[in-house]
Amino acid sequence: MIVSYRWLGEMVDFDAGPDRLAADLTNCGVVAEVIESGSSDALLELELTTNRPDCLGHRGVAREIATLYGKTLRSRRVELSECRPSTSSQASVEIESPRQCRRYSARLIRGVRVGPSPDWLSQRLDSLDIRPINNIVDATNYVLMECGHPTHAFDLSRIDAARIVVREARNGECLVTLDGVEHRLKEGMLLIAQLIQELAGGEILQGPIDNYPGVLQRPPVLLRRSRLARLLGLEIDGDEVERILNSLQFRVLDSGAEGWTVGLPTSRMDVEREIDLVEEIARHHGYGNLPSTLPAWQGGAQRRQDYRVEKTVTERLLHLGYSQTLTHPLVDAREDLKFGSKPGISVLNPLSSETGVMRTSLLPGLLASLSWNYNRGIRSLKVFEIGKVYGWVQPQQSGEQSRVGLLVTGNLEEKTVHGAAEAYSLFDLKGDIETLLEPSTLGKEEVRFEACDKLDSHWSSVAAGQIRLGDAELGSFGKLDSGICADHKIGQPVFAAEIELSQLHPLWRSEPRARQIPRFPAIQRDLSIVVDGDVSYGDIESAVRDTQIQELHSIFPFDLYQGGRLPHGKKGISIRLVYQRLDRTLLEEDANRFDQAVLASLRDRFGAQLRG
Amino acid sequence: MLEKLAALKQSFDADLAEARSGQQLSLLRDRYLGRKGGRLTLLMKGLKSVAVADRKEVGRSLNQFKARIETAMETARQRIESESIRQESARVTLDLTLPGKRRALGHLHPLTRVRRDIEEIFYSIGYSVADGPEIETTYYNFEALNIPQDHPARDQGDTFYLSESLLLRTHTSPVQIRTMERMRPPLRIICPGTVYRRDTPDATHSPVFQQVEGLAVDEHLTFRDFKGTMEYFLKAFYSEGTRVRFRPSYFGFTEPSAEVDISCTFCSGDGCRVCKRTGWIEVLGAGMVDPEVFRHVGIDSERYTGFAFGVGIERFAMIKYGVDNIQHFYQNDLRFLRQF
Repeated sequence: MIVSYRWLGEMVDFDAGPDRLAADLTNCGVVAEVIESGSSDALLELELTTNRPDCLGHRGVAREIATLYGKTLRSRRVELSECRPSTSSQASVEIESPRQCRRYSARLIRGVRVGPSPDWLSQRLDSLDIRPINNIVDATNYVLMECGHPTHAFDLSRIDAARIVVREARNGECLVTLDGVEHRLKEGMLLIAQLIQELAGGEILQGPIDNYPGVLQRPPVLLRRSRLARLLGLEIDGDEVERILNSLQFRVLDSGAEGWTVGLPTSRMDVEREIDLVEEIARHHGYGNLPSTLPAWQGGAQRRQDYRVEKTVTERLLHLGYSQTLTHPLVDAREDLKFGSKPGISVLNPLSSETGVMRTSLLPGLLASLSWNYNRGIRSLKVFEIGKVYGWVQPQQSGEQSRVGLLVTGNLEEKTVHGAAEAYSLFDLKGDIETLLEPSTLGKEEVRFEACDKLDSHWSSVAAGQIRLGDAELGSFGKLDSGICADHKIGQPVFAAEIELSQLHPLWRSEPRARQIPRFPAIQRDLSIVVDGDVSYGDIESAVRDTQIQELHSIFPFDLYQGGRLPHGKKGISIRLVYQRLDRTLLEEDANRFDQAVLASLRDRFGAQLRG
Repeated sequence: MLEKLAALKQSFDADLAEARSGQQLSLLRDRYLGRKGGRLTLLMKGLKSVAVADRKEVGRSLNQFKARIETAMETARQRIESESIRQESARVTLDLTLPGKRRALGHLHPLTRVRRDIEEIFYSIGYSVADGPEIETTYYNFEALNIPQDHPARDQGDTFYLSESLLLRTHTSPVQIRTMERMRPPLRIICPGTVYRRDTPDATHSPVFQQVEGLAVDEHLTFRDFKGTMEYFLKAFYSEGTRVRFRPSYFGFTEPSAEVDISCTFCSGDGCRVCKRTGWIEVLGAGMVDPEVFRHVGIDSERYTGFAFGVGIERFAMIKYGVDNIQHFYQNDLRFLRQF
């Protein structure tokens, strides 16, 4: 909506220049910006909220200005000289659908001469971006710009039986609806008749036709002093309240100790409750003039439930060099299906087919982020995302789960003067996950990584597995299927993992408890054994742990070899065992005894031989 | 025997003083302690010929001397070594200008930074963080928030629907409703989360974005408390010198409603391209909770009052970090992410 500064000045007398006016209007809720400023006039563009159609005409804006500056809104004097016969004897108006059209008024002007408008009118319309057409059409537009109410001029000779029918559209016809905002209508009717006569001559027939089936009942509203003060936190002077209400053309019907009984004008259909009147007072008293304080609070505050898990995971991944990404949960259905077996929840009205379903995995998004960077020359990448995945739990019942997804590709070390390049391997990723999931206090259950033959097809068939904690499945990890990577034109190994965040709560449920640091030295023993090639390190470690040696502090493999002097089908593995007691120094004899127990267990279980 | 030992001591001291390298030291060791012809070794072998009465004492002297040689040789070895290092480093200086072996740092996404900052500020003044589903019912997303059936926001063109009654929430306000249903006032919560609007992506619009909405309900909360809280928050988030302006506006679930502006962070309020020469930037919408909203959740609006506000995390991040396009946040270009 564009308004003319000069036109506003004709309706209310005020001193503020265009810039000042724009700022003051903005501060009372009618956002205005000066878009053109010349010697004769300035133009303000208004950005109106949907509750304020009353400011779609200059008169409504002028009412705000009058209230702002404590001035009087000039009412327009319209006097018609009518002649016989009466309008109603020459034409009629029928309202078929009073729900859409509460009121329709008409006047007849006979003997008009259609021609160009005078300069003052065509220039004024032109400056407001309305193309002048002829004196009749221009007159209707002028009234629209002043009152904010649309009026239409019809050629009586072309109206069938001189009868205007307001009804709903039939079979693809244009809908004729007019919202009855009576106050503006009344004003507009008089003005349009006068203006047309002034511009195009002719005579105005006696009396209007006023068809008003949908008469509005707007009961007055009580604005309580106590309520006003309680909501604004300030007693506003009663005279000021009345001044604002009257100036905005609300009628203060009664004022007493309790408050004011206020009549509601039809120009302000948005105001119908006490709270609406409170807003009118606050608006014109000025939000900036109300005080501000920070309220006291007796209660405490709680973090969200997954706060600790999310914080710990994020912190650790940042330390490990992973950067956080955020991707849209709306993804391509075909792409998403590559990463799971169940189709995701479809959107009925997606923006495009590429954003048609709610993701069931974080991996497509992570892979898309990799692809974006890869295509821009970034070949080494370590990223993670914490986000939700979605699915139907039952028909019409959706479920949402938080996950963390990791993705790694390229080089762990680039070639430098200090050494050669080193590519990421599956065990770099596994190490990161181990570090990520390391409990700060010793949990009862241990995180395990296991091969699994029912993994989804987006994982490599040989280099992927499940992550488990006790009986719970935390997620999966491994090398992504090279075909899926090739779809994104990525020709290097990509490693990824996806873990359910809710399953991690047990790891960090409680604060750490400090334990005693050993005061007595540990004994470290290295054992090199030879076993069959299909015995896994995990089997060896459990066999060692099964000896139940309380003094066994840690076990770690440090060498693994095949071939050479070893017989075919055998492998050699060297493990480092650390023994320790908290209450005394261990003796060599103790360690020898433990070694023997370990060896015996390995020999029984796998026929392991000590390597000479 | 003891005379021989004394002579040997003298000659060893002289020889040791002349040793200048590790090689000379090992020759010296051979000369005195060598298994075959070492001079002390020979003396020790001759111990058998010493009279039995003296043998014990002579033996002790020999052993003491042997220990002395070992210690002296070790001291000399250390001396020579450190000297050679000194000489070496005088010859080859390390090039300290070579880059070190750097470890890549992980970067927190800027939207997470902003969300955390906001959560911390409100946590510090007693606001709990509340959570809710992204897939919502039309009731919680619209009706309960005073948004009627025929409101344009409910249109298929503006909201993503999953079924007739399920949609992707268009704001986190449903979390406020769910909280008010569950908990009685007084309450203070903020609800951060992902929200969806069916906007075509451009520099300032994204169909998926993040919001933090807040709500305070108590017996004596007024518009001045609302103003004070917003001022505290915005100064804490942007800077102490930030000026805050409140303008009347219109939202379905608040009344009186306000649009909140801060003094432009780019020109400090002098007027620039970003703030369209007004000196102000619009940052959030807010207001006093509409009594109609309280009615929906069964809270007595005569007894309780409150205020609510909504913040676009992307917008806050764009203003705080000077990001010119909302799409940067979701492309995940590492060259962008590494700046944070």
